[in-house]
Amino acid sequence: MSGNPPPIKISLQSLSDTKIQEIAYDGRETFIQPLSMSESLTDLANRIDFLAENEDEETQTDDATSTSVDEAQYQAKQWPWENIRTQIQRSVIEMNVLTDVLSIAQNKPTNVPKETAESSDSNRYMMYDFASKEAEPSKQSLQMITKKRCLGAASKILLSGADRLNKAKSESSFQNTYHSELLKLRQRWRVRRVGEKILGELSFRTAGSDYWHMGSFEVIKKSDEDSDTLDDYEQNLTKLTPNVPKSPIKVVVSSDLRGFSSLSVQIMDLSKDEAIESCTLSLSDIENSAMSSANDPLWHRVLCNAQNVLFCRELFARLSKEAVQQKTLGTASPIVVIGDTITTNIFPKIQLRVQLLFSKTHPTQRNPRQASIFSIQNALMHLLLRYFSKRLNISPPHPTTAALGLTTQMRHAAVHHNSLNQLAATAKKTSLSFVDVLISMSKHYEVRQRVCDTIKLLSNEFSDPDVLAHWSLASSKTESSARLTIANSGFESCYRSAVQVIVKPDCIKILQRDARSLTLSVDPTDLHNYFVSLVASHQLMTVQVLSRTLGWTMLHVSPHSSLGLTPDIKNRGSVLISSNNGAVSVAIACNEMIGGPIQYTTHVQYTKAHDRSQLEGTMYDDPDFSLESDKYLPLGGVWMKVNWPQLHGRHFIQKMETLLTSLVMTEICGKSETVETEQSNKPETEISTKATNDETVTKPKKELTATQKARIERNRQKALLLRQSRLSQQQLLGTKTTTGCSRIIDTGGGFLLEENPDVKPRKLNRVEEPAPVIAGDDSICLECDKPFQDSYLLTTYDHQVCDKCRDPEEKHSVITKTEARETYLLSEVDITKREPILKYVVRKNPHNRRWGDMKLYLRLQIEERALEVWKTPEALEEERESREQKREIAKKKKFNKNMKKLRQEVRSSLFEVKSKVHTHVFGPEKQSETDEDIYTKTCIECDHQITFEKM
Amino acid sequence: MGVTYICQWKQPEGQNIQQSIEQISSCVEKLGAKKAGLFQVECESFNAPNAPNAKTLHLIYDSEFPASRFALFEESSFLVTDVMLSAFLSKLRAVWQPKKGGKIDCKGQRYELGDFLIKLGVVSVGASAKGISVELEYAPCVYARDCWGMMSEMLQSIIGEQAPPSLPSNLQPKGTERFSPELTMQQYVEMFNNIRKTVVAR
Repeated sequence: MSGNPPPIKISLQSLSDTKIQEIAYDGRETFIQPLSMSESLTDLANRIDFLAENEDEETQTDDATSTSVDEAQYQAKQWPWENIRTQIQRSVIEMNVLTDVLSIAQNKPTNVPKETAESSDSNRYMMYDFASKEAEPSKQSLQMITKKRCLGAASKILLSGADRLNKAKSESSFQNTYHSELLKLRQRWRVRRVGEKILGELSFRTAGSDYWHMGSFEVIKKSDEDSDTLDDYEQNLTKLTPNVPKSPIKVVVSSDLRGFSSLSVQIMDLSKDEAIESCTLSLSDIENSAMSSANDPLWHRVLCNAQNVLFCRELFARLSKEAVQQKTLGTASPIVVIGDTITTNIFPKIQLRVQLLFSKTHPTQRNPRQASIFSIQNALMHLLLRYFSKRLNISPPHPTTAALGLTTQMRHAAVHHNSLNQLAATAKKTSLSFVDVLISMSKHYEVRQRVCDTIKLLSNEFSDPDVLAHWSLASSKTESSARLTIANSGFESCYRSAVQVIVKPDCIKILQRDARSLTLSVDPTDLHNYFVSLVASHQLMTVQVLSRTLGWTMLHVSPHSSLGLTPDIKNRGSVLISSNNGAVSVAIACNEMIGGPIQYTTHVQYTKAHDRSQLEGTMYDDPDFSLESDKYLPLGGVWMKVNWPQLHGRHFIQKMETLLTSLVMTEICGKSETVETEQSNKPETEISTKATNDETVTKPKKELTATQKARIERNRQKALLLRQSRLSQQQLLGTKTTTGCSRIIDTGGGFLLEENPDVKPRKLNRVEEPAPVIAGDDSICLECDKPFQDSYLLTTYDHQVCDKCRDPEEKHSVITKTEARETYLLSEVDITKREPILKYVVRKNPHNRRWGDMKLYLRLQIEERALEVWKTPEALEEERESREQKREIAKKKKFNKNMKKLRQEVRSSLFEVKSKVHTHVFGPEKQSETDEDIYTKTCIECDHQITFEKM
Repeated sequence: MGVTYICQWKQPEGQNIQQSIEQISSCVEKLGAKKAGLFQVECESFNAPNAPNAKTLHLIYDSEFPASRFALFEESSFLVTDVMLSAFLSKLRAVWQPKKGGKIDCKGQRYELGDFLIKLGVVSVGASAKGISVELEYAPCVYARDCWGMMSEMLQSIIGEQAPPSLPSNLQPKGTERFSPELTMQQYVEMFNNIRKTVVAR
């Protein structure tokens, strides 16, 4: 240690009187409050031992008692009088011991030693013993009983507690499932709490319906007792899927909604009294596939069913209401509404029947074939939805003073002096008649069916030309079209007739190739007649084209001649042709037997002598066809009738070709003067071989000049060339191949078949089924209610208005985003984020090209959005006003604040006068050391020094 | 909305209105016309007594234009409005006061014959019938000059000698304007005025 350590300061401090009770984690100490005066006094009093001296004496006299008492002494600290009490107790014990000793000493026998005396009478002795308490054997059972009782009580408490816990737990779990079920219910249905009850609604009101039925239901918590009991209706519901999960929720629907309902639309044939087509419409059918599953709880099914009932009823109510109103207008066939059935005759003997079915039990499974019907289901649903949306989405009128929900046309009707007819037309266009649509759709369906059947019949009836019908996919609810192509196989390039058949609800329109349009009635015989004449004219046209190709001359064509010789034969047209030198004439007439097929009567006349041996067997003299009378003289000589079955060829045109070529052949050969023997007298041999060989020979009847011969030869070569080119074209097309003597048919399926002359070639029957009617997905203009494909507003703003109705100046004006936000008090989020996100058009900023782009929104949509946000225009106005007021108030406040500040600054009382006159208080004068006369004095306050001279 | 000609049928002596109406309607029906509902034309006249030289205002309702009301100032402007006009006029009672006995109407049968629309009406003031009106409309044309030939032929077959020999001046709008309901209403007003005058003369 160094000798002089630095002084260390030691501070002495009294310890805190109070004890620290606890030190918190952050180091804070909590003290026990020091005792107050009275408390410390009582404490001190406790510590006083009043009998400290006596105690010492006692312990000396008797050890045994003192040891026993000692224990008691230790405990007696709490109670002030404890010590005294123990002292008294001890003295009592000592007294007892003393009396005991005395009594023993009194009765003590003399001869018996004190320690071992064991006599029965006077066998009292004394011995030291601890005064310990003995466990009494007699109390063992009692203890057991008490113990048992105590345990029993404890166990009872425990058990009851456990019981209560259990109960609470089960209760809470039940509650939980109830609440979770309620949550599930809430996710699917609209539910609200009214007082104690939970009520829900399943009507279509929010979608825009105005049906009177509220469709309210009540949600009830199922108690334990009735959890397993189901009434008949519910059992019916669960019949199909027995494993319905149990739920603690029960829904109570009004009894008229408990059941199974559907709307059946049937087209009935009254003559046979059977349904031609039928369909049932119910919401559950559509929902079954989309929304619900087998695991749906019972309540969901009940509600779904109830909603379905409501839907069917509403639809039916609309239909019947319109039907009743329609009756007053006086339609051709009255619509009869009786109870739950609407019936009307759409065509004679064909009835449309709409029926509302309702049953408490589950309906039997429908025949799936029956259920597959035309799109009436969709159409009606679509109509109802449109009706709803029309009720909901009323576009705000422009100008705003106009009546709500009117189109521009309707508003202008009065001022533009629309006449009665115009008004009626407008009303008809804007009205959305369910019954009209239903009737026209079913009519169209029926007519389409008839057309389809007729075409099928036709293609089956006529084996000769192929009839191909192609139904267009682009069809609407009330209009569909088919393209009918008629052609002869192998001669498609020669001639082909095509017509477009447009099926409408009330008529069938036919567009021909020559731009003529015909309107036929819906009577199928009408259509059939037309088709027959079409086929006949097709055949005749093909013959004409063919004969022209082969170098024949057309003498006369008549599309529709007068009636035939016998009244039951209808003439469908006739053609008269002659070979180019006029040697042979052929007359063809298309006749139709009533109720029979078309017949082609053909007569051949040889104006010049001709060899007929080659066509032996194919022609015969027609006994019916006698031209004895004088008026037939211009017709010339004898006409032979051609026996069609004898001619070679697969169909009429091919046979015709054979006939014409062979006639020309014989003629030419007659002219060529080559005398040869007949090589082939069988007309069945190939035409091609015949044409190339031209060795059929007959004797010439007349000499010809050289020029004539040359012309004939030229013509022949021309005809051959034409024929050759046509054949090669056909080969290229692959429809028919001619090789050698065997004919091969291309089946079109990748196989080449050899022709079997016995078997008639299978005719192509390519009549398609018409495509299902799909309601057009054209957008419908909100203004004029006409469907349209595409428009500016639809593409740029998703606003369904066609270009015609677009009014860029007024109704469909645009608005910039900033302006929209200011005028309609919309936030950025409302415009850009809120679903559906509004579309906009980007333009350059008109103020400065370099600034941000101008976003133009459709004012109409912005207004809608504003209504969505603010609910009503009044709310918007209120908000605007309140904002205005707030702004005013804020302005005022700011102004007042500034004013106050200003006032405070200029208040006179607070103003410190800084320019107080300072009076110098000078200290003592000092004489300058250099100059005696010069003195200086300094102000005490401001150190101002004045130098002056004293004279 | 085509060309319309309206005239008053001067009934021959010794015939009352009922008889004349029957005579013309049978004549029209013989031509092949079909009945197509009823028609009604109402005319109410208003005066402005406070204004010194105000013209008479005629307020016309025609069932052919059910949504519109026509307001016609005598020989000047013409107004087409919606049905609220009469209510509006009643608000302006201080200015426009209804003329005494100014209400006159014409009711009758409406016939259709191809493109022609024929209306035979009884003109009445209050409850008393005053005369008969014949209206002929040719719907497909809007230029009176172009279709007058056809119309006059038709008129001759209905009203015979009373048909005008040439195109009346009131059917001829200024220039080559299209025919409009204004002209129809003017003709009605003229006819009503004529009938009133003759009634007063009697």
